Amino acid sequence: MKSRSFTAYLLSGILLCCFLLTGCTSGAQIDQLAIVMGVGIDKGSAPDNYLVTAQIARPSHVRTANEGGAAQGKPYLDIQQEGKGISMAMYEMMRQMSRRAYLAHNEVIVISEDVAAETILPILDYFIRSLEAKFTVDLVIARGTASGLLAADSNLEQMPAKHLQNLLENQVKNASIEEMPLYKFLSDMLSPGIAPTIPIMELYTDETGIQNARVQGAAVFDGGTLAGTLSAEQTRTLQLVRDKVKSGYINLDAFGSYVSLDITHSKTSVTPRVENGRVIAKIRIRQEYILIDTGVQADITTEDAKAQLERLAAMRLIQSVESLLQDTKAQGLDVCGFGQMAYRKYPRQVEALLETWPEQYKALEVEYDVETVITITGSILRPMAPKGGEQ
Amino acid sequence: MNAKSRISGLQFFTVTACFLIGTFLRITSITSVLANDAWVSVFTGAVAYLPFLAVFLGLVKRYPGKSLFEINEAVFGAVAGRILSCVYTYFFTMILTTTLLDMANFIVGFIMPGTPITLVLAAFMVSCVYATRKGLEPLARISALLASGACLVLVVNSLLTVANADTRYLFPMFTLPFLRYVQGTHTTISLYFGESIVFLTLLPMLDTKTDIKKPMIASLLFAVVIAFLAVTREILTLGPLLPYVARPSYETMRIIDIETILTRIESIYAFIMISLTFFKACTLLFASASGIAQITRIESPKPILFPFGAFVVVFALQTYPIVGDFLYWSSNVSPFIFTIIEFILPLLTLLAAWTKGFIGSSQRLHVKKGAVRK
Repeated sequence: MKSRSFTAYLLSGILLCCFLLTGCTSGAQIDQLAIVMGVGIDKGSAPDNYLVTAQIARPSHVRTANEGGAAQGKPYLDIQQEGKGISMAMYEMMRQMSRRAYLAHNEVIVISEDVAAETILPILDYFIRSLEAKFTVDLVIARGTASGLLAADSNLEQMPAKHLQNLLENQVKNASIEEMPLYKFLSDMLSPGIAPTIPIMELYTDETGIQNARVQGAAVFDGGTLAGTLSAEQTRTLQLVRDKVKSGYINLDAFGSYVSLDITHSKTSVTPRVENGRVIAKIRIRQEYILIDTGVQADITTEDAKAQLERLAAMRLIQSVESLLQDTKAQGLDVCGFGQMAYRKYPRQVEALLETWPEQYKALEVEYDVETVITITGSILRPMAPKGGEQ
Repeated sequence: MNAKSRISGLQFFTVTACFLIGTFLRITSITSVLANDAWVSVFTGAVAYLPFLAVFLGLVKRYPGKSLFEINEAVFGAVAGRILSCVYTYFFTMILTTTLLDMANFIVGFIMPGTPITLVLAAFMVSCVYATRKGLEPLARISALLASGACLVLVVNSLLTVANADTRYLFPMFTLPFLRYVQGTHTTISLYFGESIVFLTLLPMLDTKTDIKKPMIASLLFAVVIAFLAVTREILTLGPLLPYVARPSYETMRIIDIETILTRIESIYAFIMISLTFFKACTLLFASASGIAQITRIESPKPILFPFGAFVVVFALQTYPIVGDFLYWSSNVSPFIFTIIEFILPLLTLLAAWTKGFIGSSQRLHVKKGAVRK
């Protein structure tokens, strides 16, 4: 009886170990992990080879707000390795490190323009298959080298990768670009009738001689290959067409000087229709503004002046959309996704058109319905003119 | 397993609901067929399943309080009934095996990479055997908690995905060939709703006053709502990526990123999925062991549970050592095999029961008439 209970306890103990310790098989202590904050991908020395740069956090070198003072060293470490495919480069990288590269905190994947010009699909394939990497990691195209961009120091952030991510987020808030997480890019890429975009970043040298990173337009993709670029202005217009503008400003040349309007409300809707086997898109834009700044000394709060300003603002919007469409039509790259919108609404009529969509897009007809309203002229009713002036 | 413990109608509802939610969380087979129209098959599948549910309820009405295995013997006699029970037992074992294997692949692939799959399967099976030995009634009691927890997690997670959702992903609708919708509906009824045939093995455990019609229909409606919510959330979040990902529900959770604070919450989904799989595995283990007990005339399935559990672990490891083969079999082969067992056999049983009843009643009438003549 005694031996039976002993056996039962022994078996229970073994089973308990099985339950509690099996999870430790793949376990790793935090001090055994090299936490990757950003990944840069440049072209390697041979075809299909990539030069991968992993920015690894060094938590012991991160300064807290109270510590201040001079840094003991950089709070990050950039490690580079070339390999055939990303996985090979990552595995080879492990040989240089005493820790395992851990991708779960990776914030940004920077891909150089050279690599993007060939294809970014093998790169995305690695990250989408990875169970560790985030689906929401931001994609960035680097003008120049990805490793260079990833090394750009910032006075505001300790970690360049974090700096790049914050830069992107800030530009998204200003409606200058659309953040492009990995899963979103893949969704756009798999959808017919839309050319996906990824923000472009570049290094520039400021007046003090320090190199900084900045967002400079967007790269447009055809499938997984870089097929064109948009300027910063065109990228902002793209956000307008995609109805992503929540704030911003518009600067008009009017009454012999300038008038700055702050966008308080913006709504864009695109309604496609099919006529005689052609897609026609109607873009409706309604924006509301408040007057924030002007160099005009005349009273521009009169109905006539307001109407003229509103007309100018509407014309500016149409011109900017036209400019965007003109450039992208020339390249056959439907960045606004008119083809996708038309397909979603009229799948049967548009399905055949999508096979030759780049050509169809060149012949796309666009109608505009723009309404602009200046609601408030700020906290003053009329410009303050010196005594004895006209007003 | 305590034969005296009975489960009430409400508990039967939570048991069936838990089982069906656990089944619908592995919805990959539909999304890979119908992509953004996968939500349609939830409704068409539910409607197409109604006649089969009527068959199950017809059998239960004719043989109240009897399990599926007892009904087989009552209708077809001891030998043919046992052969049929063997088929059902094999079927429940197959579902148990695939359920366990799917869960183990998920744990080893996503949650604890590197952990030996044998250990995961063995540890899980030991828990299932232990719980099943305690009886169905304690399991039924926890099923209410599990069902509520699963619903809460699903609703909260769905709300968290709103920021990443895009309603345009639902369009264009109904552009696929008609046969794809037929395939999607067939897959839904055979792989998801049809598995509810296992509930017919639990009938002897029910309170004698329990009418199973209401809980069965209620759990079906409940499963439809939950499945629709889950599938729609995945379509709205993943869009065109949906047919490409191995585990849509899990990948949808991976996308949640609220201001970099609420992120990596897929572990909550994993917890719910493992809990529901545990519940489903216990139900299937009970059903399979009951089948063996009935066939071999063992009074209670309790002594069979442990050796049978060990057999299932080995069977799972031997049957589909390659994940790709397993996924192919689940999507392309099993719906056809399952249809025969889930729908054709019960229908034949009901028809045989009717015929037998009809012949029996006419013979009785004949005897009665003869007696009058005498």
